[in-house]
Amino acid sequence: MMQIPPQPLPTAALTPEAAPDVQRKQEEELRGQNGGSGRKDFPLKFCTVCASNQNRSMEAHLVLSLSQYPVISFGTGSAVRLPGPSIDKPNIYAFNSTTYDEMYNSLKEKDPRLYHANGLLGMLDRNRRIKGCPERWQDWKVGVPRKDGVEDGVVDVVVTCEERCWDIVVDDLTNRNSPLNRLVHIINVDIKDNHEEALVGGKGILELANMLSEAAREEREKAGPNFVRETVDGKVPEVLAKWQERFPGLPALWTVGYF
Amino acid sequence: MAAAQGLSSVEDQLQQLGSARALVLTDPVYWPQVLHGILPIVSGPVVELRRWGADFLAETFSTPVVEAGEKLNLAVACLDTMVRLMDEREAGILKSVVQCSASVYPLIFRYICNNREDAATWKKMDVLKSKILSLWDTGPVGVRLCCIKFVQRVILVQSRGVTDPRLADRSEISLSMVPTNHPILSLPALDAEAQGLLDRLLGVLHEDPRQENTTTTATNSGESSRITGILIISSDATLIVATLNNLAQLVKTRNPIAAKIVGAVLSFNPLAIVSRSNTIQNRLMMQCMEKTVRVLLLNIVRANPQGPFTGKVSQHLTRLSRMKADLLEELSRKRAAPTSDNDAVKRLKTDQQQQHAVVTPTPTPPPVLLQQQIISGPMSYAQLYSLSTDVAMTSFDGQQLPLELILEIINRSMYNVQQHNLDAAISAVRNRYDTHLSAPPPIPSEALAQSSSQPLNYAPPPATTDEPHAGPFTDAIENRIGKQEKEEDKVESNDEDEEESELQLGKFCLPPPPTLSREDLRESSFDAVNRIFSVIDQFDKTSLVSRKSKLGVMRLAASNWDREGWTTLITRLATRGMGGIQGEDNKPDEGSSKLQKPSALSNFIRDKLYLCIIEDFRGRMDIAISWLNEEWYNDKVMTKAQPNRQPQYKIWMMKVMDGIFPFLEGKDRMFMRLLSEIPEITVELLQKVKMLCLDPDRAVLGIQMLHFLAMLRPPVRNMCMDVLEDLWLNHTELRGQTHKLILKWRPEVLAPKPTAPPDENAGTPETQIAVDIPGGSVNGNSAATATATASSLDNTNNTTMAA
Repeated sequence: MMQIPPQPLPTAALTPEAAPDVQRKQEEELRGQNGGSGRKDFPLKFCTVCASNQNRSMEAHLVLSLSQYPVISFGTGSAVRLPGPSIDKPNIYAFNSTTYDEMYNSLKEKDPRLYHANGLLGMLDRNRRIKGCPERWQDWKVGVPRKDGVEDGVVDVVVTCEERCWDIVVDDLTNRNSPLNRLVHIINVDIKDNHEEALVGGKGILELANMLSEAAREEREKAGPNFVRETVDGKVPEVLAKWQERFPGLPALWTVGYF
Repeated sequence: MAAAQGLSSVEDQLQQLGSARALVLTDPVYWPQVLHGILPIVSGPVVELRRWGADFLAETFSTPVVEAGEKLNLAVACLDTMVRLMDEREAGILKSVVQCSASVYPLIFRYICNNREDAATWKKMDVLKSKILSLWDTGPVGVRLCCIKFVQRVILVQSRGVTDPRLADRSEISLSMVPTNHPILSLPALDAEAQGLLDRLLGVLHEDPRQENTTTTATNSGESSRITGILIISSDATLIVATLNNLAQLVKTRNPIAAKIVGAVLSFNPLAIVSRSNTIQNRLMMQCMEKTVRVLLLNIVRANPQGPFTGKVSQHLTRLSRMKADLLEELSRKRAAPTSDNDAVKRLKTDQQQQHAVVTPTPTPPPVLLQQQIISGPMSYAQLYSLSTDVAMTSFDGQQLPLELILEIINRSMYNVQQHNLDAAISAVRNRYDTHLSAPPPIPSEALAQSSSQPLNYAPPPATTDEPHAGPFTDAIENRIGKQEKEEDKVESNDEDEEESELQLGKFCLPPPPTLSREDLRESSFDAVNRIFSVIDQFDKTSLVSRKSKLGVMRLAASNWDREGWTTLITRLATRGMGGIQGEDNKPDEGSSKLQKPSALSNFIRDKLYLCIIEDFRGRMDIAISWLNEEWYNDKVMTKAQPNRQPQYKIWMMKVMDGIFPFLEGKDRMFMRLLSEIPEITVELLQKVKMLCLDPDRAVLGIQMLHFLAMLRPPVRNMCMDVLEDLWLNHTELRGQTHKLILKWRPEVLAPKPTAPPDENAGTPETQIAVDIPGGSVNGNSAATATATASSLDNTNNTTMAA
């Protein structure tokens, strides 16, 4: 199960790949014993999305993975933008290639005091312990197996942290023409882009994940006259409305899309 | 996997399958092999294994890591299993199988197109399809969502794509693939089926969901007991957004049915759900559906901005947001208090947007009432204009509000106020005013005393009394008729009909601005000039060549406000701009005997220009050229008008050259352009060029300049040749470079050889060598040692001159 590894995950997961075929099979079996079939409570798989895959989506990534949810995260921006010494001088990094670790070191070198004071170093330090580098939503190859908590490369729920990101995600999925034909719920939880709000938003998202999973579990155990073991899909609006009542400060938005 | 069968425990088998799946995820090569292995298990009696199998089937046909060709082979093999799995009662399994079918359907369709005889396969697919379609209305929501996707795939496959064969995507599967005489696939039947499915798909947008619910519960009577109203409505929203998210691809790739789909979306009202029952959930669903419609329509329009739907869609979206705002406002008004801050914010917003007459307080009591309010005696503007009977309103000091807010209020109320109300209000004020004028005024001093004792309507006059009137509302209270204005009238006119003037507002004219002192004037002029220079500085540093204007003959001096335009402006300001204002300061001191000097401002600009050019003479050569040309032209013009004016061209030309020459380098060939484009070349200037020739580092440049000028500027050829001759005669080390030029234009200097034979003999061998060496710069270097002392002397001369 997904936990915060001391090292970025990709490097940790690289070892089995290097082994030859037969050996690999055995290793995969072992892994299957540990994780694959062990999910008795069928947790939903999540994906968190914000603009730069730094603050809000990563905070949510962290809390969800701490609660054992399979989770991945993305950013929808054209590049990773972090605040710089002034508003017109942001620090810009490339998605998918610059690691959190590199960003951490580069900012630490530039102005350790400033970036410590504004919380960037703390944030990057947290992020580099969660995964390797920020990933761009638009470059995500849905369904291609991954080496992290979501091995099959698909998720059940996408949670965006800003309405603009939700728009981009829904629009992008539409343009992809859903080659997988797979159902996905896209939920927006509007969070302001600062550390404090990200913490609040992370808690909200975790609660939403808990409520959805709980509903999924209930539905699955339900025995109706015509169908049994239903899915959470029909319950999402109800769960979301309940959640919204509990978190009125985080306006929600939702739609059903397809990968 | 075959090995999995041998194990007894389901738990163990699942573990085995899990590891098999892990294997194919890391290495997709094994995927077909593993799939074939698990097919028997999936059809087996153990439900846990069937669940797993259904999920794996769905994953197999959706994963991008397995190739399409491979998928097709697998699809044909899996159809039987899928048909069997469709009889399951577990929603999870059904979901997977329907998702799987959506992926498989196009593959099978293409397979049948190419394999006309395989009716059995098509038959299986048909059975699968009809099972799925029957679940579309009756299944659990999760399954229905997958059915929607399946139906979209069927419509895509069974309708015609791009009609133009040149634009058609060859890999795309559509009705165009079907050969006309196919034994199994009948074109009209497939097309009709697609049309029927499309109608059914769009039905969810058309229908009143309540009616649909009754039919659903009727067919599904067993479930009716546990379905609550809210659940039905929420499942509607779910199906609707899922349907909407499937439409964009149909619109974009299936031209013939696009209009129908867009029409259905445009006629769909996502706001209706709230009017049925206004719960938090329904409001949320309304927002979600509205937003989904918006993203969908924008996506369609963005794909083809010139398409037929653009106008309609943008209209619709505007209308939709207005309707939504109206609705939210209405909802918030129905409720006694807003339930959440979110709603309160929205309500505030919509209030501002919509401006309902009820919300905005417009002071329009009937005129009869107004008449009664007339106050005898002195009256403030506030009293004059306030029509409200509300004490709180009349005592409210408008100055407390920020100006922007007041403007906003006025603007908005002007848009909303009814014409007849406004007319009534204006006539009421006018009446008051007239009555006030006709009423006998009290003694002014008394009025003053009274006014200060009136606490309600009197506000202390503002600190700046000469502030212009911002509007009737802002200054309504502080200005009092019969106080300030009256006093002013008294001071200014002191007319015989004092009583009348007391009440007249008088013609307001702005006081003339204070006259600037000469120093102030100069100061601000300098500021203005500095600003123009900063503007010129801000323009891109483009190369001299690309700075050329593209306007051609149509070009005027300052056609655009670009760098060139500003340069023209500033140079003309320096030369002709101050033509009329000759140095006033100097006139009395200098007297008329001496030449008239330019004004201080002109010279200030010239100084700035000079400094500007010296700062970067390579990049600002164009400024130098246009400026010097303007100076020269102005000199010519002014000699006629003002004969005793001091000509400026030579002064500044020499100053600029003095500034540039010390910094010229051997590679500054562009400098020749400056020399060739300035209007007049003087002997003094050529003397400077001569100095250049004597510096071994820059000799080549100097000689080239003389060469160039002699060749292309015939009027100064003689002057150039004079310099060259001087060089030839007095500086033998340069003869290698000057020889050719002398030979060309002044051969007579060479002719009287016998007059100075020793000189000549000493020079010739050196020249021979020098001429043979190409490039010339080497020659310059070789001569460097010989004339080191001379050059350093020249350099010091130059710098002192420049300073």
